[in-house]
Amino acid sequence: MATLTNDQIKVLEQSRQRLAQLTRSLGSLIASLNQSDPLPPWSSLQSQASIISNNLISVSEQLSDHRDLLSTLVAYPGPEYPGRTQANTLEQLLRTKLDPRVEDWVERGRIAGTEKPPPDTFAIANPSLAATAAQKQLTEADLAELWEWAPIEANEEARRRNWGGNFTLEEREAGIQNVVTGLRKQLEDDEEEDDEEEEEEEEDEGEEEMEIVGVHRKSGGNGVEFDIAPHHAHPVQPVVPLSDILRYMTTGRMS
Amino acid sequence: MPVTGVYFIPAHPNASTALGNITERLRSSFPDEDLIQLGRWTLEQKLMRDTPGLLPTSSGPNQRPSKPRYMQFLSLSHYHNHGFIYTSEPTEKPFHPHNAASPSPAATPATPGLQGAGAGAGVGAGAGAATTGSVNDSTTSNISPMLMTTVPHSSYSTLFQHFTYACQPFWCHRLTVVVQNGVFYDIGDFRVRLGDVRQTYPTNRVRGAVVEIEWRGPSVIDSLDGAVTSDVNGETDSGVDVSLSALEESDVDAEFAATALLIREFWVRVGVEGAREAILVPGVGSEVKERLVKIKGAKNTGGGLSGPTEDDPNPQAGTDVARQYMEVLRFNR
Amino acid sequence: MHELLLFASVPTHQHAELLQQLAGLTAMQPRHCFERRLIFKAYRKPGVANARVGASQDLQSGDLQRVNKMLNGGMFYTQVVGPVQSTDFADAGVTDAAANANPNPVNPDPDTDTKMDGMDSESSIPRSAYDFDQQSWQLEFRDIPEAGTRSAVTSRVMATAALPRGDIVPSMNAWGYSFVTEYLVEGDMFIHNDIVLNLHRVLHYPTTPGEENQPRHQMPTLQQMAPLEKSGSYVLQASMMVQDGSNQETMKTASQHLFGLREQLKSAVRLEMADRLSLDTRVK
Repeated sequence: MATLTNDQIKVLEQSRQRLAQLTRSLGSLIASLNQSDPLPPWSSLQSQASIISNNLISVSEQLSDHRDLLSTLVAYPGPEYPGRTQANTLEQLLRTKLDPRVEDWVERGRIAGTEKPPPDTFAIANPSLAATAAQKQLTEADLAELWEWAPIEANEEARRRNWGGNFTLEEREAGIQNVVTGLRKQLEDDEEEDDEEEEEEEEDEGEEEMEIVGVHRKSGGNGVEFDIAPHHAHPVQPVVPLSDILRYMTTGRMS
Repeated sequence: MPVTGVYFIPAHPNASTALGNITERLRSSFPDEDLIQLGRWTLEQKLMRDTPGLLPTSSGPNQRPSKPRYMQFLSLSHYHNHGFIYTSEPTEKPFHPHNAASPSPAATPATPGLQGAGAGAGVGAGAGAATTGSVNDSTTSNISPMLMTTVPHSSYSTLFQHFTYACQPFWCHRLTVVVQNGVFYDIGDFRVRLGDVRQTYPTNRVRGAVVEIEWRGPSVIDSLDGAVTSDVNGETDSGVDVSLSALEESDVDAEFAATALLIREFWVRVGVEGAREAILVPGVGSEVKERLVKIKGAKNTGGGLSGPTEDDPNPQAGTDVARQYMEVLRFNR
Repeated sequence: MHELLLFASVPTHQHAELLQQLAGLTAMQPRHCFERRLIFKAYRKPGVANARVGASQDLQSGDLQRVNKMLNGGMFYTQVVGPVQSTDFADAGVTDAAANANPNPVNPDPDTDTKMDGMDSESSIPRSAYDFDQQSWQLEFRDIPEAGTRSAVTSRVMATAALPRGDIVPSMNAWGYSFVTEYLVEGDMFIHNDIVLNLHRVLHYPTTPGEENQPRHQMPTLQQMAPLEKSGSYVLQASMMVQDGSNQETMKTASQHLFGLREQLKSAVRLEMADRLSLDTRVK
């Protein structure tokens, strides 16, 4: 049994400081999630996460750099240790095994670190996890390309569908009475009507319905614009102007 | 609804009121009773008058002197669920041809009595829950008959503000009087409420002392209240006592007259001079009679009872004493 | 109390869609409401307004001026509003399910326009369990919107007070108001933060001789009601109440909230301030 050198004490002190930093940044993240209403902006969450990540890295480096020293150190109480008043701390220091809860965490961490998840299952559940798992991240350029491509592709996909009715084909096949709309109002299924009028309307319908959701490049050059203005087969404009309705509601007379 | 009487003893401005004297007289007139103050009560009355009536009478050929019209807002702490609005009935029939731009001057001047009687007689056929036409008794009173309406307490001040804001051409706030620190005692079968009446608008001044005497002894009218309550609670028609449905309106009148005698006797015994009395004022008992008609109607047709509302178990409670207060507090400036 | 408002006209073909959009925006189910609206008009004894000023009796001369000023003050239309249930309409017991399922008595399809003019309504009005004596009412006073406000929002003084149940006409007459007419408002209500959204329209009662001069004591069937706006369009009203209208700061915040809503709904409807004179409640 030898007393610690000054260098060794410095190492212990450094480890303590880094762990303290880590707990502090974890604590502040928890506090900001608990207390701020509405939730803090994503940018602030992001920066807190990266601080925590840096703290973890530095703790991890510290622990592995001084693995030899730390794994051989044994703690025992000196005669001047205030055992009566600091009994709890003493117990923690004298533990030879980890707290069972901590043991679980460590176990889970080890498994996560050694097992390589089968990339296919993850890819289905969450593509971004799969990317991390494969240790391959999209570059900024790849991301930009994806964003460029997605809206147009989504729009193309949308155009393939007929957006006329209140129900999708799948819903109609499964029986519209089973659809949970969340509305008290009974939605009409206009499919039947359409069938009757199909012959007259078929020609226009093709063009008309295709135009419902339009997307085109902004004239400025950057990005795209959507036309989502409602479009109806039978627009009926009100005959009585709003001001006359309000006048009637106020005085019971139209003029 | 208990039978009550209200006495008002006027005082000179800035002089003290008769309140101390009355308390003293109560003590000495009923030496066997412990005069223990049971609690406090408050009153507020806002008096409005028809604005045109405030103008000096002109001597135009077509102008006949019209009776003053009043609208009185009364709030009593012992009926805290609602406020009372007592309004002179319209002297001419409101008439609006649907397409006419303004009220036609040729509107037929209906007899005021007809209007009041119509509302009063419509009771069985479906008059409002808390609206009753008053008895047309213009021979004893020099003002037109008045209509009692009770409104939820939350509406009381909103409506008053509405009339002062939006109805200036026909309603003008003349004065406000209050009883702020009234006290009450139980003396035998009577409950006596006393208080100083102070005017707070347009100027501060003393108006006098007011005494309300409530008969708390046995009364047919109270059992009427009970009959309605039990019926409303979903009991069968048997909840209505046979003897009650044998009651006639004349019996109610007789009951009021008999109790009025008791209250007068009590007041004579107190022996304070110079009071204005309000007991059998026009319209007193209207709601009681209305109830009677409804109880009888319920037996025959099985419907038509106006039940309690969510926040007011009985919207008509206190209308009689409110009439009496408003009768004695209808001051000119 | 003050009320700040924005309005939009909603053509019938857009109605169902807007209902869904509003349900999404407000994260609540539409609350379907029916309201009886009775219109009353202030009346004054004919002639007295022009009474000549003679020698004063118990009036001070200052008082006299004040009374004269009051006599020439504004008089107003005011409304008495009472909520009714779909079960209050005649035959509601039988057609209850249908009435709930499709609150539109009018098919949005214009081809069926002819139906809603009451062609197929029965000549006699079926009775319902509606109890007029128990009808609750409230007085709704609205002043003419304030003039010359620079903000693009309708702003007016308002007051609302509960009235006794049943026949309110005798009281209203005594208070100085006479009954003019009544109509029904049918629609859906949403709450979005501090804003109340009403998507509603006016329905006329079928005309029954003798019932025009007083509020009706019976309700017809909903199918017999015809929309004032024959194409079946709706009005979207966004309103907000401000307790203290003299507080410029809260009034400003309130209008900004309304403008925020206007922006959110921009692609669906155009919310605008109303023509001031169309909301003129003054009796002329």
